[in-house]
Amino acid sequence: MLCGVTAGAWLGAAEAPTKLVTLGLSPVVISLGMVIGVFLARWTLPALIQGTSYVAADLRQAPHLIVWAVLAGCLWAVANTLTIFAVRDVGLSIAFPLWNSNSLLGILWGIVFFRELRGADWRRWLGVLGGALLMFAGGTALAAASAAQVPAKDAMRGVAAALAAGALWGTMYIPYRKAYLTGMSPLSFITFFTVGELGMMTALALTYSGGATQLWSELSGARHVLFWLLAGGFVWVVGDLFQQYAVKYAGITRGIPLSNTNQLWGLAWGILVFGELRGASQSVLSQVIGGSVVMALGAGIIALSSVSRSEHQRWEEAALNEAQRYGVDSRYTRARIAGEDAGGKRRRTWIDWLVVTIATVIIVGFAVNAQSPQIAVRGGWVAALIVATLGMLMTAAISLWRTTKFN
Amino acid sequence: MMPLLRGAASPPSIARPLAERRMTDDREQSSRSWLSLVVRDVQFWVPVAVLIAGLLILRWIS
Repeated sequence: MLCGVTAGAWLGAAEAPTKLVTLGLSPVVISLGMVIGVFLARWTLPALIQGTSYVAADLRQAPHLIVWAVLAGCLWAVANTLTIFAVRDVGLSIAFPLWNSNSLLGILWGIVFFRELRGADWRRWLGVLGGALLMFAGGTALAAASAAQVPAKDAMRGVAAALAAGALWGTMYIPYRKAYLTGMSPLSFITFFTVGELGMMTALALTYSGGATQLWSELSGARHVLFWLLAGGFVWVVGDLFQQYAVKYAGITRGIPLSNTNQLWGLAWGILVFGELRGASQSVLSQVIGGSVVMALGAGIIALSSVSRSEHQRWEEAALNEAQRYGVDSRYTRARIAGEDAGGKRRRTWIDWLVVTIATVIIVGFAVNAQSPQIAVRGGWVAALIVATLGMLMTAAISLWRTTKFN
Repeated sequence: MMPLLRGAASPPSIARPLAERRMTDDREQSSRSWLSLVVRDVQFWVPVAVLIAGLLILRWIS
């Protein structure tokens, strides 16, 4: 639950850097820039935390999950590109709650495919479903509040893009859950997830930019702002990592709605740091406050609907079926579901340090060439939000390390 | 000559390549088998179908 809430804070914060560079860039270049940052983060963090040898050992236990990870990465890349088109056409405030409907779809897949909520009492059913619906209603109120602020250029296409992104992200939780029921560590899963992500994003960028030469010239033209996109991608990965741990240990039905509190954090960054909704009418502000309270209430109800022992037993049955189907050692699956080591050793080799060094050099290189953002920001609020998100990161990371050693 | 030849072709030079070949075959067979298990898994086709639909929508809106 703590991972889900922390994921929301970091996923919301990831929007801040991208907000600085939306003007004059094509959606695919924005998305590709973010994915490059995501790729760097997804290789650096596992190398730092567990070491690539641990990742390799994990994959030897369940090699079939490479296919699932790459497929999930492809889904993410297409969804992310769709969200940029959606923001362009109908604005962030309308698009956000529409694609956040992914949690409702995720809950459906969790119940249908992975026996989530089976064996749970009616209070937990009510808590999860009611909480998710409350969050959706709160999100819609937030969208309605600021709808008048953004002129819709092509509402139908924008709404279709946002809903499609929600469907893709909602379905992406099938591979996630599949991997975590088998016992894989989220840190191992994301290293291959990102191969699908970067591969699909590169293919999309080449297709929609009109070829490699055109894409290169667009990227060269955007080199002074690429760092902000990379930074957005990097921050996003931290949030996504906690989201993956939330899915692993709390299931899709709890983890995803909780991480969707990112809308509240996105709004906090927008209003407090970038001065959005400045001069808005009293009714708009009431809607924003009301929508946020309803959303937070929904998240709170879900957080209180923890997994019962009988429900956990159903998960274990689903996990053992999964292990049997793919011939994975059931001892590995059992140990990993409980958050224990399954014999894999954590040690850093020169490969890990090479990965970290290359990623750092690339990020520093982009940072050196970056131009300061042209948007006015409120420094005090930036500091306050950064302290809050870092505090949540530390709390969740320490708790996760103590209970699971990041398994 | 024959005994020498047999001697030269004793377990270290023949048995090991055979074992290695068998291991490689096993690995290929195992990777083929998990791939076929993935393809036969109904849950695999749900994300694939959604991905194709997403690509079609992207093509429409862009």
